Amino acid sequence: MKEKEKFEAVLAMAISRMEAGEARAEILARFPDFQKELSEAFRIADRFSLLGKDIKPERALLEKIVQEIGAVTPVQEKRFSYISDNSKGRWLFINPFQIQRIMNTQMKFVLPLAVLVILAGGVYYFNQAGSPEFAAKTAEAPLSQGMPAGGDSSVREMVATGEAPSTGNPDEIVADIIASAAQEDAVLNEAAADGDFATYDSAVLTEFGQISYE
Amino acid sequence: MNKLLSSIVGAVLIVSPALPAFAQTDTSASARNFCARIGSNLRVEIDQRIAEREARLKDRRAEREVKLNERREDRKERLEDHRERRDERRDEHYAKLMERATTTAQKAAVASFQQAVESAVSSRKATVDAAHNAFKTGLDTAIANRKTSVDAAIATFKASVRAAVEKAKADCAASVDPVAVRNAYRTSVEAARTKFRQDLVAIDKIRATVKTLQDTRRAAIKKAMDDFKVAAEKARADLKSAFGR
Repeated sequence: MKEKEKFEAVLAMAISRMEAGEARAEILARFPDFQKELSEAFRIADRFSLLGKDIKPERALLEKIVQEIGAVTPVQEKRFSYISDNSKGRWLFINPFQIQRIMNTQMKFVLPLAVLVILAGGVYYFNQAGSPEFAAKTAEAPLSQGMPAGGDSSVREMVATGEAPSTGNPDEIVADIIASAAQEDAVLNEAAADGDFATYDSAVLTEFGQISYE
Repeated sequence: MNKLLSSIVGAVLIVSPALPAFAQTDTSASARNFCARIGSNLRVEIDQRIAEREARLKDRRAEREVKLNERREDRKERLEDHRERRDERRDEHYAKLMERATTTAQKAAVASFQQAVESAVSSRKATVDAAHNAFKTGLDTAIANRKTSVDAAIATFKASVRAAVEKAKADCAASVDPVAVRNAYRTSVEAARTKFRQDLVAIDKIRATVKTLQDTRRAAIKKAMDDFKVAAEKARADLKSAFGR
């Protein structure tokens, strides 16, 4: 596999782990060959997520879009003319009246029903997950797949701390243990910056030579 | 036009012999003023200026101590917390492995794996802690040495400036030429400044000391990590062979 393809595969894995809630340091430790590239990717992602808050379209662009759509009139008094059914603008694929009707009639029943079904399904699933039958079924799955039987307190604890439960796979266990040592090193390595405190008084010291003595 | 030009040249020629006298008067006035100042409050003013800098230096040092301790405490707490969680995590891994072991040989292999990993963890922990403590102690010593050297340099500088002031005062009182007194004073203060700067340059060699400490620490931690990886990989290979993979 080429280097680029390899990195793409690693990046995909890293993203899925990040979405699963795994800490970045752990992800970096998992892929020691791509730490630099992944750090850069995380940094860019952070930058965009921060910049995104301040991105606003240009006024000229907005005006152009509004003009091309034709659904918004520049005349303020006519903006809500569709309410009195005298709109002279272009009709959308589904006009606002249709949307309103759907929301008022069909959705009034369909939406609560859908929510109810989802809730019932959720309650059923969680109740079953704690039962011995469910545990027996899941226990049949290969251990290397990861998730052990439900109802295990250690699992709940791990989920609560955002850490995936142990899979019992030696490769993953050793990788996890090495990753944890790397995390510890990261904390320890912060101490190197303490060295900067040695010359913390330099600026004040140079002032002695700059005093006027007359 | 020619008349005007010759009048200007003539006036300049007449006045020019008096120019040095004007200059001399100005310099003498300034020098006399220096003698007056040195006799009254200059010494107090200089002491005050130095005392202000010393107070700022003291504040800066106190601030350093607080910040450094805060950083260390914060790291210590995070490290302890991390280690505690990782100890629990490893126990969970061992339990899971033991759960998977079906034969006596496999159970023994898991026990050996646990022993090997725990030994590697302890060994690494001891090495990094020792390296970390050596760095901490080394840094504290370097800072303390710097403080002693800086205080000595400041004391020397202060003494030199005071001596220059006293000498100028004495010379002024002995009616030595004020211009000569002021020049001698300035030369002495400049010499004190130069000496102080040289002392600071020598003191600033602490940067090299800190760099050595940092490099030693980094190398020790890296080696501990490399050794740990080797031990962990070996433990994994042994375990996997016991599980027939």
